[in-house]
Amino acid sequence: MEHDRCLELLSARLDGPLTGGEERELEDHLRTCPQCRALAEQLEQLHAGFAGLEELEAPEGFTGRVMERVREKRRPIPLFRRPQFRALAGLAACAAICIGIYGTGRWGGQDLSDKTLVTEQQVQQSDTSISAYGVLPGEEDGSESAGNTVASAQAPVPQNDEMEVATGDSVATQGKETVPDAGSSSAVQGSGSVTDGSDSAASNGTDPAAPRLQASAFGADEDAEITLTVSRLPEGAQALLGTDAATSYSVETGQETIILSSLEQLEQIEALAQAQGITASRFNGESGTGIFLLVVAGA
Amino acid sequence: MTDRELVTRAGAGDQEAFEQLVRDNQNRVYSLAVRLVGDREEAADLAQEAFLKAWQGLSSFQGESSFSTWIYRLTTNVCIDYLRRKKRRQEVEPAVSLDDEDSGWAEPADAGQDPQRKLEEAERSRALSRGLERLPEHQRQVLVMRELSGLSYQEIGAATGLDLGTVKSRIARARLALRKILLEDGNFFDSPSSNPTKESKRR
Repeated sequence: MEHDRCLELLSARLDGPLTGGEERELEDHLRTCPQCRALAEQLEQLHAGFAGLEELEAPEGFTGRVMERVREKRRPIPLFRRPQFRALAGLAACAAICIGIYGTGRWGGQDLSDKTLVTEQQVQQSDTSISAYGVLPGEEDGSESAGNTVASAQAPVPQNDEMEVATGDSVATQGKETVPDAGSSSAVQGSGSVTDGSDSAASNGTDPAAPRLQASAFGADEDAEITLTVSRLPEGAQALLGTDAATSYSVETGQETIILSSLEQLEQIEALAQAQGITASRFNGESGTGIFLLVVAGA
Repeated sequence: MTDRELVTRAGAGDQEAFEQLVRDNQNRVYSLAVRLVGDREEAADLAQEAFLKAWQGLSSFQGESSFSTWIYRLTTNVCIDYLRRKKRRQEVEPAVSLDDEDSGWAEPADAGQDPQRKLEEAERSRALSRGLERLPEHQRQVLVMRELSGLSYQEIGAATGLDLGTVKSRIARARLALRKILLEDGNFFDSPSSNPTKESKRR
């Protein structure tokens, strides 16, 4: 028997029974090979040694520190120390754009491309991790409905040569959907929102079954650690969100409300939603960002 | 209070019950983390993280296994995640060269000069602990998962992404390497006569 084979059988035997054939093979070999008998004995001593391996003492105050962190999760952290505060500027910029989009939808006949381009630059300068959005205004009559003005991140750029592509690197790469004919409405192009959303179905967020898409179109969820989407705000949630400036910060896009919250709040609201039979879906984004978003899908 | 009762209470949000669970398991969890990652400070952080994950996941913990098994698993996973991140960040540290015939033999241990050396369990335990630290990371990891975490080959394969055959042979090689390290150390194996290698004659 080769040495490797013997070693593997000896090792495997320490962790569980060998097959009958393996056991015989090994025993036959051990009878004739003193070296491997010595190896077998030492490996057994080694194996047994682990059972007596001393436990190391956890550092002084270990349990106390764990419990401190457990309690921290219950207690709101002051506003400016929250990591998710970083997101505020980005969300504010997004809100500005949403207002712009809304305006574009309302006054679609006007040429707002200059204004929207400026807005987009401002967003890019805001030095946040939230993606910027370019606005591609319709050529003629984008005035049909406000509900149509926010298209999905997956919507391709309408084929219109006269439109300025505001964010060159932002063409979505997956889940492309049909968009209204050029000129029928304005569209928002979601920059960098291609990380997810392949499961999304609707393009304009009016379908409550696809609220995730809106979050994606909004662009913040790729940076959010957890995005919890609820079909409506459960009873008692408002009280949980409280009057804290950070948590009461929200963006209304017309279809939904995005609320910056804490993990604790998200978890409590999720529990409330489940208790009240309200549809709640959780999306786990990149961890460690400290950004937790609550998305309330509106009508 | 039994473990199960503590888990039920902690799952319902009882912090005192959870504190008890932490206290009962802190040394085991910390030791495991130290032996998996090989750095005490890092291990303390990772052990904390494992307990926090337990706290957050308690409500969904179905109690299929005991809490101590579960927290061991969480710790193993937290540590493996850490090791993966670390591996991406830096080149793998050069492992102790186990093939170098001369390594470890130039400076004989004091114990080697004492023919009557008495191998107390504590000393053997320390020797084993030292030996583990000298194992190359990839070997130490799987061996610790097997011997301390008590994971099966399948579970180790799932945790590390290795196939069963690799897990099996890596554990065997880790044992062989550890045996060699401990033979060099001279404080673990209690009967030098059973040492069949040439090295023992050089003592």
